[in-house]
Amino acid sequence: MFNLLIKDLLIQKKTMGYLLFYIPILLLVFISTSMEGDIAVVLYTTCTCFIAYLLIAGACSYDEQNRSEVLLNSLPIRRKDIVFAKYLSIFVYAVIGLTAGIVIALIYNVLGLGEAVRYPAVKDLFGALCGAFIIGAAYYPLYFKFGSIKTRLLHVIVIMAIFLIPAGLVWLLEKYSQGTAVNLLTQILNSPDWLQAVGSGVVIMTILLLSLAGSLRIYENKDIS
Amino acid sequence: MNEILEVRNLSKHYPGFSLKNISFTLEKGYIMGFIGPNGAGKTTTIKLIMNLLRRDSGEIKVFGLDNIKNELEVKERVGFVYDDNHFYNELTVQEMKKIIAPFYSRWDEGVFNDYLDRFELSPRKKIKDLSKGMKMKFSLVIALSHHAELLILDEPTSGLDPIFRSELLDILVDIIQDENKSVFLSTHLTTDLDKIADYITFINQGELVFCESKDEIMERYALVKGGNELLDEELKKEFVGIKQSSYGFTGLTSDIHRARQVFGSSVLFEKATLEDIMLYTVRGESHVQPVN
Repeated sequence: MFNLLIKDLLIQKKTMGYLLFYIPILLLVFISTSMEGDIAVVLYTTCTCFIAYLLIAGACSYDEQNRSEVLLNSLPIRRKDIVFAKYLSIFVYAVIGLTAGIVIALIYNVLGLGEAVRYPAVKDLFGALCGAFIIGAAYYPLYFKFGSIKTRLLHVIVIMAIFLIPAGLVWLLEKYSQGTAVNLLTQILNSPDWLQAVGSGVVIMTILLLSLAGSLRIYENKDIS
Repeated sequence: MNEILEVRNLSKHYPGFSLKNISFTLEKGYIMGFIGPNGAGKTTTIKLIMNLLRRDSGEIKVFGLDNIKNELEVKERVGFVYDDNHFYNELTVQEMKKIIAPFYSRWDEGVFNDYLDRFELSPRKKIKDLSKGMKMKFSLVIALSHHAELLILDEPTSGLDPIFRSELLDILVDIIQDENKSVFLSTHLTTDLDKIADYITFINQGELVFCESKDEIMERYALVKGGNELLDEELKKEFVGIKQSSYGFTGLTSDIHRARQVFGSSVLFEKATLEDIMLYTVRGESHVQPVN
């Protein structure tokens, strides 16, 4: 499984090289954003999610372009290991993305381009990882079912759905529950940080596990041609 | 247990194509040629053996083991060469090897390097810069570097120059000098099989035509040539396929002894090649051309 992970990194040497160009661009975007409040959260989450998405989609795209599924599935590898390796890669890509975020913060601070940006705290790591996991969880079942090209389109829709459906539900509850939903939401937001973190963690892990189960089911029954 | 590959009643259905109850057996120490026209189901059969496609019914045993239940053990001992390139174009030969080698417990670096030298493949060259022939050579190097006991090759010689084709055939013959190894070779180029195959499995439109030893096939099949006046509708049925022109007919019989009894010395008998057998069987009745 780790060989597959290394394979995904090796085939993306070029993409990783491009990251060196993305970092100054992200830095410029960051400088031009005159946000109020804790901008470090935005920096680390955006970098992690953006780069994780690039690498997830890039590896899948390389696999498809080179029709390498035929090769991989002819080697002594279980199909489930191919799926597990893809999910494991989300974590690795998130670490790469987060590192890029830290490099941007470092350059920003060293060059004194504005008010100093703090370096990541646990909550930043947590938020960034959760973002990357949602992106991967939405991407892989679609990729294993439809392939890379269709997934790029469908993924946007699924990501939007993941964020819009809860917002829509809150709106509906707000409208029809006569204040109960707002009270509930307020209670959640006012709960201790650790409780919010545990709750979010459970939700994200549930999404990830459901996605993994779906991907395994799809890939185990797939005809590779 | 002498069978290295057993396929029993294998079926796979697609919209517009079905592989129907294919059965054949390959024993250790032999080369089996797998022939048939485009779309006959050769690649589908190979992909089913490699468990790339899910079979609808039937059984596939490799080294006496079910190819699905014992997938890892089977694939560990199988070397494969496909007609298309499935390597990552951006990687070098060496990088591609680094990805593949760890999956095989019996990977032999010495054998790998020997074959790279023999085929004049540079480890630093990118896959995308290799010609079709060189990519095929690289596939073969990978297949040969982990002491595979069964080599499965899908159209390996198509697009290769005659020199490398000949070299490849020599390598395959070398491999089966070890009597525990076998080669399953799918090809259009039946002349390759005339030279090296021990057994021939022929499929057409998803159905098995025959699976026999090449020598038996060559003894049984023959081309029969004669004048059109010798033929009537009943006698045409004696042939697997027949080609007619205003000068006479040429038919393929699958039973030379019976054909000799039926036609006696009024016709000419010629040895049929595998290409003749494939061509006449596939075309069958449609081979008959109207006589002016």
